Amino acid sequence: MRSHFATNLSSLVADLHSHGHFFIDFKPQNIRVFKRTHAVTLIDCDGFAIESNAGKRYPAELLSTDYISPEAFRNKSAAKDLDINQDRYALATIIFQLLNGGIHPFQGIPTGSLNAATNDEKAALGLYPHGLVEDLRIHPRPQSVHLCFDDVTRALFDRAFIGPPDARPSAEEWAKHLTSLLDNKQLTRCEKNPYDIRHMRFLNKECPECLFQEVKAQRNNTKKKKTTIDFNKLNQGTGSVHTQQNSSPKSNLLLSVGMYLFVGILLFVSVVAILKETNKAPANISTSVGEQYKNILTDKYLSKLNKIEEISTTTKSKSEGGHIVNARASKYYVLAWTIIGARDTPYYPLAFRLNTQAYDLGHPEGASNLGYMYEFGMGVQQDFQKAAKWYRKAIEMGQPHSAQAELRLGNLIANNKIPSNTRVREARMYFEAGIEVANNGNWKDLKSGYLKELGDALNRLNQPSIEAPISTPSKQLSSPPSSSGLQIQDLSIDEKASLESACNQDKTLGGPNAYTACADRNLKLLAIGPRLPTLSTFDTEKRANLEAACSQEKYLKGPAAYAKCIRNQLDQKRQ
Amino acid sequence: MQCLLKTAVNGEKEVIIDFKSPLGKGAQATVYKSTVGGIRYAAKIFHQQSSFDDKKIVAMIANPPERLEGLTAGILYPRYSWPLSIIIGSNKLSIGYLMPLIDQAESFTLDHYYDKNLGKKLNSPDEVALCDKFK
Repeated sequence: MRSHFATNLSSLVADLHSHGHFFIDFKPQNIRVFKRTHAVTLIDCDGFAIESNAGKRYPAELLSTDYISPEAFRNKSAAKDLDINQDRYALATIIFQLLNGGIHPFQGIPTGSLNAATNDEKAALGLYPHGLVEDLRIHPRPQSVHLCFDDVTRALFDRAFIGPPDARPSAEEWAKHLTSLLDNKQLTRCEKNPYDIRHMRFLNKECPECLFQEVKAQRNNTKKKKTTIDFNKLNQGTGSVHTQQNSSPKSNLLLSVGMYLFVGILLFVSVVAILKETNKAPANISTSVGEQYKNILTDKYLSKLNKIEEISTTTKSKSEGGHIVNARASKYYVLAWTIIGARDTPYYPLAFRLNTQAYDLGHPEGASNLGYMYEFGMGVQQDFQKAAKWYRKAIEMGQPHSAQAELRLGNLIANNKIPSNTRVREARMYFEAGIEVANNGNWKDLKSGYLKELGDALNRLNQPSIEAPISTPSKQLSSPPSSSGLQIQDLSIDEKASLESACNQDKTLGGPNAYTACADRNLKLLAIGPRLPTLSTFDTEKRANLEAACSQEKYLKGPAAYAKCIRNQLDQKRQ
Repeated sequence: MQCLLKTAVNGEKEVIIDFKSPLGKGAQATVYKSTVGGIRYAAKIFHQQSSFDDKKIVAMIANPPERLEGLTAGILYPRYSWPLSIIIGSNKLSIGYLMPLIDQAESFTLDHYYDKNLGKKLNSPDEVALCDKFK
């Protein structure tokens, strides 16, 4: 997950640099991450160093400690004098911290006396303890997991922190490197803890979380040993010549009694707490659903449930659509879906419970089904807001199971069941995301079903009666007159999506006229240039590669540029 | 109290600024919730006109990054709190600028994702777990 943050951040900074702007006061506090989707946003942009279209520079004014480049610190440079090298240093520092649990790249334990207390001072002296080649002047902290990074990443960090300023990796280089790590599956789950998101490791490298836990356990053991020795010594009264020299036997005895009393109280409180917990309604994932429902279950579900609960909650896993999921969770949601599908009303509460269990075990389908039950009032009171909440949870949990959630949530928005300022646009996004998810999924039957439903939903959305936004009765927004002869309704789904996205700024800030002008401009360009090939004819992987290569053109430059980009990509592949 | 102002760029559009609920206050400016055509934005209003470098903001509006917004999990998010428009006050002078509204309740600064103390503020169990290793 943190690698995704680092990748997104690098892309944003690369985009900024390509326009001649610099961040300068580059620090984690100026970067916000949305908790539900982990989208990254750069804030305080008016403090950036800006280059106008005419080439005039408007400098930055602020710098923050821990993120000042070594040369700037040594030369005591002001923020206004700094350039892209400052950003490259700060970017590498933040990526390092993200990957290494917040440890600053220059944070370490000096081996001798050094005249450098702060990280910036150490950076200015080049005291980098995490390099590929060990620096004998400083050791890394025991908690550092830098040895678990892949060698290319470590080499990039070396260039950023101990190389000359102009040799630092650019933001674009970081973005490409991190994307390739993610695309080529260079990050993988740790075998010991495959369901714990903290346990992600680089291929052929040790799991950083396991390493960290090992170091932590060692430290705890050391502390425990120390405590035990001290306690024994206390119990020995005056017997210890090493520790008891300054203590009287009477005070030792009192201290011992006090310690035993304290431990006794702690034990009593713990036992009471455990007993209370035991009497509570079972809620954790290890609780047997069969046990809770055996009084009301008939044979038809009880035997299935008993079989499911023989599956381990922690070790058994299976592949669904190319993704590894918990085996018991998978069975839970399938049984729940059987009950829902059969409209077996008396067992809706059981289905609800099974879906909750599936969700607790990390299966997105559990969340999606809970949304469905709320949407249609199955065993619970119908509540569109709660339905939307569960669909969003399923979407957050990821592919390939979120196609249903994307479809249902898009429908809720399109049908005005939940409020949205940009109803059509938002619904379209969910449908398109659903199509993308369904296309990427490996499961054959569901894929075709969802693709059809999502395609139908998109078509319905594009009908004039639905297309007009609620707050703006004018149909001009969706269907501006075109002087090119080409009309919006003549466009394919992908072309329409591209046009809507490219003209989004004009629509929201400039109003209907600006939108119409933008749409007209795009339609003219599309009318004279090549049209977008039908992407649905390509296989999933090829389509994903094409989409990735041309996403900027699709969402920002409009359908003509998008079509041109796709055709260029196809030509290159043919060559 | 709400106030009607007009933007200089992108035509003369009305912006309604909600002075009742400032989102944040600094030495030079205060950020308020605002709406343009029913869509929510943030308005940064400078305390003194002299401290507002409107030329820099105009240069920013004219030369934005390629991707001001992006889709994540099917939701459109601003990628930068980039100025979108200059705000002109009733005295016909520029007093601040309009930018995308970043939901403070829905987002956290990046350090929350690796600092153990800050991480406790995150509600999601997964995100809290991410910070757990620093205990």
